[in-house]
Amino acid sequence: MSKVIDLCVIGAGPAGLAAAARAAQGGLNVLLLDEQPAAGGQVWRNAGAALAGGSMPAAQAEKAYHGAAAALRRLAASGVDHRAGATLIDIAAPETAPGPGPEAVVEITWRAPSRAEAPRIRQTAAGAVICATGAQERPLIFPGAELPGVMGVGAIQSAYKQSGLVPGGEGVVLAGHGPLLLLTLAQIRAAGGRVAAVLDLGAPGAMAAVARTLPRALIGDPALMARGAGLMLRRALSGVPVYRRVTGLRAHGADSIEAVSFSSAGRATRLPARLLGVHDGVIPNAQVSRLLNLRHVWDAGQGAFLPVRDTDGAVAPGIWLVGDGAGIGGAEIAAMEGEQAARAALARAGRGPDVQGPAARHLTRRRAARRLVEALYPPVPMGAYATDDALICRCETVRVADVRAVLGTGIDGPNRVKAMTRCGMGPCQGRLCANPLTRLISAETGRSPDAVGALRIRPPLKPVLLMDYLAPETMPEVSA
Amino acid sequence: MSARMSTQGDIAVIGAGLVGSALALGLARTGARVTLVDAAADDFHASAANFGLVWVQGKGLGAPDYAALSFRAAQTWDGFAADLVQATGISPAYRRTGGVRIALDEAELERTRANLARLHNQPGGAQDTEILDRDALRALLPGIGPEAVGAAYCPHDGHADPLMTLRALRAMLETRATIVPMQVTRVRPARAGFVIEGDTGRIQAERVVLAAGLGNVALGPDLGLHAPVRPQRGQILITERLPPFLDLATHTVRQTADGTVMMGDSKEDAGFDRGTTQAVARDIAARAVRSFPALARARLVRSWSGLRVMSPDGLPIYQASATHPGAYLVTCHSGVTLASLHAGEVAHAIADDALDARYPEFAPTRFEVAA
Amino acid sequence: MSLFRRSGPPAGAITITVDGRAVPACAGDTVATAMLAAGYDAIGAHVKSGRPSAPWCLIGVCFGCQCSIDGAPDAQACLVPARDGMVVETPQPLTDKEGKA
Repeated sequence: MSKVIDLCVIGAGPAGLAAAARAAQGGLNVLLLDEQPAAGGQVWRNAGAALAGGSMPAAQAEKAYHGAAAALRRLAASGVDHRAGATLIDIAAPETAPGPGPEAVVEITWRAPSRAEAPRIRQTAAGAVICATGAQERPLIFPGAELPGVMGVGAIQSAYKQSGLVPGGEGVVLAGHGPLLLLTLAQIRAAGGRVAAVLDLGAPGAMAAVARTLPRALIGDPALMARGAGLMLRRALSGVPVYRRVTGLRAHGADSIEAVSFSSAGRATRLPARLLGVHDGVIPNAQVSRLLNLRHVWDAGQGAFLPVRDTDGAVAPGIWLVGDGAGIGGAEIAAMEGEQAARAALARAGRGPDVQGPAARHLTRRRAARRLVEALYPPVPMGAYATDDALICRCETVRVADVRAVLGTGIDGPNRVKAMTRCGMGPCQGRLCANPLTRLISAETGRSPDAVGALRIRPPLKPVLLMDYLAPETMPEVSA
Repeated sequence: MSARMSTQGDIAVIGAGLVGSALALGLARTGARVTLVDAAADDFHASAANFGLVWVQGKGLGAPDYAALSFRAAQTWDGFAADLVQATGISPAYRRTGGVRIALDEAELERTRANLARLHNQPGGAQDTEILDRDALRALLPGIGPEAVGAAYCPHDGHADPLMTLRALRAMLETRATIVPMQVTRVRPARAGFVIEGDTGRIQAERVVLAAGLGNVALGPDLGLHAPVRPQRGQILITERLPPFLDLATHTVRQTADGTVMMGDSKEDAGFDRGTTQAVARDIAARAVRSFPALARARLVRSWSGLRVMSPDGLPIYQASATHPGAYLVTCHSGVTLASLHAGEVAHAIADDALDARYPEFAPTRFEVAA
Repeated sequence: MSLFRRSGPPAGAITITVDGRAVPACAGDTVATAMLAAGYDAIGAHVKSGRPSAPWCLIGVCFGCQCSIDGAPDAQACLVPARDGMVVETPQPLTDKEGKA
């Protein structure tokens, strides 16, 4: 397949936006594929509409979307061909494409959002690829977690940013730890909502530290603290019952959550609940880096595998991984990494000197600061709530006990456990169970996560209708 | 159990896939003290990539003994599966549904018909495979597409879940054998028996069975065993769970007990590359949709590749070493179909040191015949 | 009663159809947020158990909101912008869907 575009950027969050715009400004023709309905990623979800006076009050929009307006303006001016709602299906790395080197092409298979846009599956040959696929929440494994009404705090954030939705009425409980949990609490209360209780699942003292660390942890922007976020957070907890030293967390209900039970400091408690927001930090979305079969190293601070990258984010000839998808750093670090990878892509295409941008030193400092934040919010230990009857794979209804039952002599890696239990074989393709499974096996066998390894990821990256799959077409020349 | 301490057993089986595990179970049942050396880290290689057919029809043209072996395997699978369920509670999901080889045009049907006629003219094996015309096929498979012109149908064919079969075997072996995870680097003859050397230590055994699939190529020569096998890549696609619509096994599409639909039967020479390619995957999907048009609206969830362990003539290789008594080699690409025999008569033949006597036609000496 | 309420200024009113029922939504919603706002606790169904499933992530990761949208049976409701007249069909879980919304 001959090259059709210079650069394909996957993901339109802070990292992808920066990379695409920089590369386009440098003269590359760029295709920006993003699965979400609008550019911005998660931190800037729906920023364009919100800043233009959409679903949330303008003052809140400015705070929530700091930095987004500039990034979106830059995208609009860049000439980047941005496809919203485009789903990545497969990447064939240069080692399987003809000859590595500057002439190698990376074959990107992606899906257009609508069946009306035939052919829905497209194949694009790109001279280079920058993957900026972002983060997801780390699933907390506890019994009842799969019940409707139990959702990630990130999902509550998402509903807020997308449609201005705020949990309403009685029975709203938040459980977990970390900055996003407290930010969500503050937002709910600021919007006049009620939170019945907060279950603090974090390290002792970490909840109180949130106010100090939140701004940097989320978007790395000291200016936000100056605008009062710190104060808002310190006040968020006032008047809300906080349960600490929580054990035995369990969600109850038939078709949706009706109650949550737990012990706090040894005292058994049961609260009515209609919405349980859960948060155990965020982890890189590892589907692409696993599909590419890259080397990963366990990062104890982030409680996740991170792909091994060069200093500019390169992982293979013509392929870069940047932003939270390669290691959680927040929006500011992500944007800097995107810029840096775009410069490297420009240099590789003979469109500029191969120099690190002026941001390089700043980036190093920011990453160091990020480490301090991570130390405050270690992941909830795997064994804390993962009872035998808790689901580890909600798609295939695989329980923790099912994994424990097959672990034994020689059955001590995720792919063997998958073969024995079907853990990871459902439609989410391991997105929700890969990280917990590595940690569970590690906890059960006493082997390090690096020795345990991770679930292998196979194409397609998202389930594809066979009728779509059968009718692919090489994308024609993009308008750049 | 750690391999660092030298394990002493009557017989060691190298390779814990379907072939090695079934043999180990069969040997343990003869009363032997069995050590199963599990040599593949976090993977089951060919066994985990398997399509899962227990298949008789069309097998063994020009090799009546292979036709007969496959037929006996299918006839003993029911008992084998029942034993596994009874002992472990884990079902291999074996169903003797009958199987069809679907022809999507007249030329395909003619080839199938000719092959079948030649098989009927040789002794051994199932003789009741029949050709179905378009209407008969439609009556058997209401979901079949208009392009299907006919099929070969064999009542002895069926299918099983290779992973659950392996899981059940593994569960039985946990208490009946010593399982040692070890990357085997070499098996060498010793004063009394054999020494198996690996990354975590060494194991001694009086006798040894190489059942390491493609790994047999490297391990065999030190013991006078010869396995001229090569990898043949097969890609498999799998859909989400669908309501039951296809009970029968077909050679390219089958619906598992879970409801997922597997599609496969590609054959490529790609060395040891276990990658997938979209071109082949699309061919597989296209054939599946032509066979069963309703699959067009099914979601493809995952694809993968496995490496078949192919001998030059596609038949199993069963060998007892002439130079090193007590060393055996077992390899085949039909590890699911033959699992019932590997856990039965083949294990007995090894226990009785009669492998070459009972299966002379599967000795690798057949490859030495001058052309 | 709905788990969520809208906090912002009202956006353009549209209507989508969910399992044959008219559901009010706002321009800018995804199908998933529109359904959450309208009181749907569950959208999809767990593929193995058939039990109702709900969005866990709302960013395209969890498949808890998988349903059919405008005839495409493979949609993730959280990734699809709601449009006036859109037709949504939820998978039929084991439980009765009556009395929802």
